[in-house]
Amino acid sequence: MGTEYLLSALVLLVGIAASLYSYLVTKRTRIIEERISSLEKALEKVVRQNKLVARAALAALRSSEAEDFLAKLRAKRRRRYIAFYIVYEGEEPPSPQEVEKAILRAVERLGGQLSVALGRVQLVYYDPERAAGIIRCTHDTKYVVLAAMGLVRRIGRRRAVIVPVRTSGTIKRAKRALPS
Amino acid sequence: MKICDLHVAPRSLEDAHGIASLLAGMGVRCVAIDNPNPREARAYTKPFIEAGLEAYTRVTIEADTWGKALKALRRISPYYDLVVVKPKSAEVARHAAKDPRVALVQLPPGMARYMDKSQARLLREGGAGVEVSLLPLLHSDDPRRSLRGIMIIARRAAAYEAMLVITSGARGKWELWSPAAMKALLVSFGVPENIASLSVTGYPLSILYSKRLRG
Repeated sequence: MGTEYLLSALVLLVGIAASLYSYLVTKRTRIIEERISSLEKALEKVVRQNKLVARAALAALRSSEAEDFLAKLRAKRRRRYIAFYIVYEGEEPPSPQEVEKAILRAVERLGGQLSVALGRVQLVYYDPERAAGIIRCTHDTKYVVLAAMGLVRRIGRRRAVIVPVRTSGTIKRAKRALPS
Repeated sequence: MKICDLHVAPRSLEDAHGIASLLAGMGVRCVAIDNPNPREARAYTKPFIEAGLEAYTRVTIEADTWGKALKALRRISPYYDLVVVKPKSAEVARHAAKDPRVALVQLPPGMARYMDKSQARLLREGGAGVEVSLLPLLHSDDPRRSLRGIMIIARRAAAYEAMLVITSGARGKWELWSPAAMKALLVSFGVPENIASLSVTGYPLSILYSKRLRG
């Protein structure tokens, strides 16, 4: 009888120990799970923050690029003045309107409408007596305008050749280069 | 440095006078007059000399086989200062580039494909240059095509370091190109500025002095 009691008490003790162990294990796993979930949350938060940081950095970069672009746009475009004279057929020299139209058409033919718009091509001075003038453009479209002037073979309805004399940064020096 | 236009082809003395006066006004100092008749070519040099320009005679040989070109070269080269070959086939283009008598190989815009690496090497070895005439830009049916052909030749010549000579090919004063416009056209094609300048000054002069056959 004594040994039976002892055995049953031992079984009970083992059962209690096992239940205690299982309770402890479940508690531990719960704690671990909670920690993992909190870590996941923290990680998500970090990722979210990083995303925000990345987005902010990208926006900053874009804004700096935009600022550079705007600065380029705002920068004063260097002007070039091309002095030229015209050799024409007949007695009467071509009118300034005809000259400007012929040059603009040639620039448009060679470089397209964008070149005309960006180049801000304009006849700024014309002396019909000497058939000489000055055309203004930007420094980056200078060569297109010069090449287009070479393509002009007719002004109005008469044959003509435009001879560029000098390219200058100021209208004063360009005027000085014109043939007298 | 002297500015050159190595291809003008006046059809009469009157045209020659007109071209000479306009070229002198443009600052050109050296010209080559193209005419199939050597006597006429020499006669047409007079108005240019009177206008204060250095004038030379030149002939353009057009051939589809090198045999024909060689025959013409032997026959007419003693009468001219410069001989230019306008090839109609790849064979002529290659042989002409090597020949010591040939000063320039004129490539029309439609033959831009012949201006390749080997052609440039042959031109360098022979001391000749590649000539691009701007006349097709004024008179061809499709100027855009001519523009593209000229652009390809000019860019390739610059990239492969061949001597590029740009000429007006004018038959009258209304077809003349000013040197500034010729240079600007090359620069707007993408050719470096120094090479564009050399194509109207240094390259034609060096070809003229090294390849001149007479005098």
